[in-house]
Amino acid sequence: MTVKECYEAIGGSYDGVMSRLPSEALVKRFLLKFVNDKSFDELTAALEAENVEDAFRAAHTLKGVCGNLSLDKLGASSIAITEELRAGNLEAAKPMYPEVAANYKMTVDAINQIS
Amino acid sequence: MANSSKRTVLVVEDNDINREMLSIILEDDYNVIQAENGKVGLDILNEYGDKISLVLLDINMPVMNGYEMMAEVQKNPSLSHVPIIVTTSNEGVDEEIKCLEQGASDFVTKPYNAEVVLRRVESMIHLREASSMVSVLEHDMLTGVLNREFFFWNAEKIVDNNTGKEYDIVCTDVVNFRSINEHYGNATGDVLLKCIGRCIADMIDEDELAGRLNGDVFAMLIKHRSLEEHKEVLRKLNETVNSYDVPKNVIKSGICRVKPLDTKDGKIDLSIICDRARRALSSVKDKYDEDCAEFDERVQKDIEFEQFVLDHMEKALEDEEFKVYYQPKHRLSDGKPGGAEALVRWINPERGFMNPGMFIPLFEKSRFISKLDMYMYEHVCRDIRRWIDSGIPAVPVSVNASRHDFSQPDFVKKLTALADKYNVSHELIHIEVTESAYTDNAGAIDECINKLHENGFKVELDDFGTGYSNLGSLNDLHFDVMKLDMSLVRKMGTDPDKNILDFIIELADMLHMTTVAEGAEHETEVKNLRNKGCDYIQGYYYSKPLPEEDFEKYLVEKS
Repeated sequence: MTVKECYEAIGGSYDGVMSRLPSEALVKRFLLKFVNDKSFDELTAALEAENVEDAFRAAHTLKGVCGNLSLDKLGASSIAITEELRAGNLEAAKPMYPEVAANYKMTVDAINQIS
Repeated sequence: MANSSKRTVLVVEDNDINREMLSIILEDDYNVIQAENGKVGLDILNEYGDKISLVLLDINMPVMNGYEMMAEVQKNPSLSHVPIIVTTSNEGVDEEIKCLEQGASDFVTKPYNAEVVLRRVESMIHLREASSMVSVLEHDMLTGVLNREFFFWNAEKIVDNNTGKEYDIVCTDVVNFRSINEHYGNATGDVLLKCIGRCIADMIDEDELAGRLNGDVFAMLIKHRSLEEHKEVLRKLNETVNSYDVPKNVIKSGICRVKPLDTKDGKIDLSIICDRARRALSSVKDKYDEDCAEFDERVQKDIEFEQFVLDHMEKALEDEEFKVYYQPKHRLSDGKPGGAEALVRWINPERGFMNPGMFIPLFEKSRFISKLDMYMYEHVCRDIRRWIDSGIPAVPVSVNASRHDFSQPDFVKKLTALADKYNVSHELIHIEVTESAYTDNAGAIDECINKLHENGFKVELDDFGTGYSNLGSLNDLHFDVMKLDMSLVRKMGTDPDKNILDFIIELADMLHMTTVAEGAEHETEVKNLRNKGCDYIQGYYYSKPLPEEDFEKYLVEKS
């Protein structure tokens, strides 16, 4: 799979990221790094521990990284959960988690297929 | 390994990807150092200091977030000039405003646009460096406040443009700064100056100024406030400066109101006002309980008097405005006058009667004192001649010599010439040297004493008991007369039996010196001194210093 194809598969914006970063090689490099990014795991753990602050920070960071890489679909669900956590609404945030998790898995799987 | 021709940027961001992204964006043009939270960032800043040209800082970080880090940076005078660009998540103007208020110079929003980031970084670094170039011209390199020229230049502009406002000039300096430099080294002294400069700059408002005049002297142009308010501000300044890691120090200040010196032409001369502020400053220099003073009438009068003395002293000498007064010395054996001390008074047509305490210190600064001394010697010789010619029993007269006299190579020759000119026997002329002047310059004075003795003059050691005489050297000295200072005589009053005076008089005896007690005022003092074997008394008990004509009559009467 090419980088561009990957972006199409995950609902991301290839043009968006290419307008901000200097080269596709760089984008690819970061996509591969994203697989090891800790934000999602930290979000998962924080929600389980019911720690609103940590969960907020993790979600916020995840949102930021998605923004940087134009991973729009994952980013959108991150934004939603981030806002609930910012307001401290753990109960409202929890039900949003499955969608974030699903988008995350889809994104990572696609990245792993980049040749 | 850092490339030394590239500038260095510190990236502070906790998320690996974001941090790495920023680094990669920057790494072609800059050396990049990474920190994963504010605390690490602060440590790196402290370590690298000036070598870091810019900090890219994320706000949301664990351990220490961006706001906290900026607050810490602001506290440190040597770091707070490093530009900080904050990376924000584009969550609204409020966050951006808060960042700018906390000390950020600019912000970039996420998602990062590589070109935007690069340009902002480059532009910020360039701006900082360019302004520091201009800064170098206008600012004092070491402390960062304005240098002397620009302080005055800017101060004049401010005063001219704000004719309705009242201003004060405040000058400060550090007590014994030279000692601090000597004790701790110049590098530490410089750190202290930097700290003071920074604290002073922080203290003033937008429309006020701070500058460094020279050395450890800073000047400020500030809006007028009361002396009490000035004192409070100074107190806080001292507190703040000493809260840093600097040698313990005391800062004093002098204040002068900014207003025209001459109300007729209305011109304001800031350098003169600054001088006055410094005058006020020097008036508290040696005081323990006063750190701050305002230039006022009294200080002004002192300056005017000093100027008067310097302007008129030469003419006063020519016009013989200096008069010789004589204070009799009486023998304790028969109570009759056996000598006198010549003392100078200045009777000026404008200022009237002036005591030596008012002008002698000024003369000593300018060496005019030697001219005055010669004048005194001549007048004394002349007077002695006159007494002899009138059939009055002449007595020896002692005249004070200043330190400068002893460093003149032909002092004794000149003195001899004067005595011979008036055909006065040399034994009638005694030269008085104070104990402190002697101990400061024993070598030169000893030589002089020998020459004086060779020429038949006598030498008196004055104010004995006030200095740090090496008793052993008294033996070598061959003073002819020892004058015991008033303080020794006073102390005797409290316990006449247990007193050092007995020892001193005996010592003088052993060394074949005549003793004269100065400042005796009461019957009991005189009686005690006689019992102890003192030879002469000079003091108000017998007479105050008398003008020449009165002294002549006194001699006739009392002999």
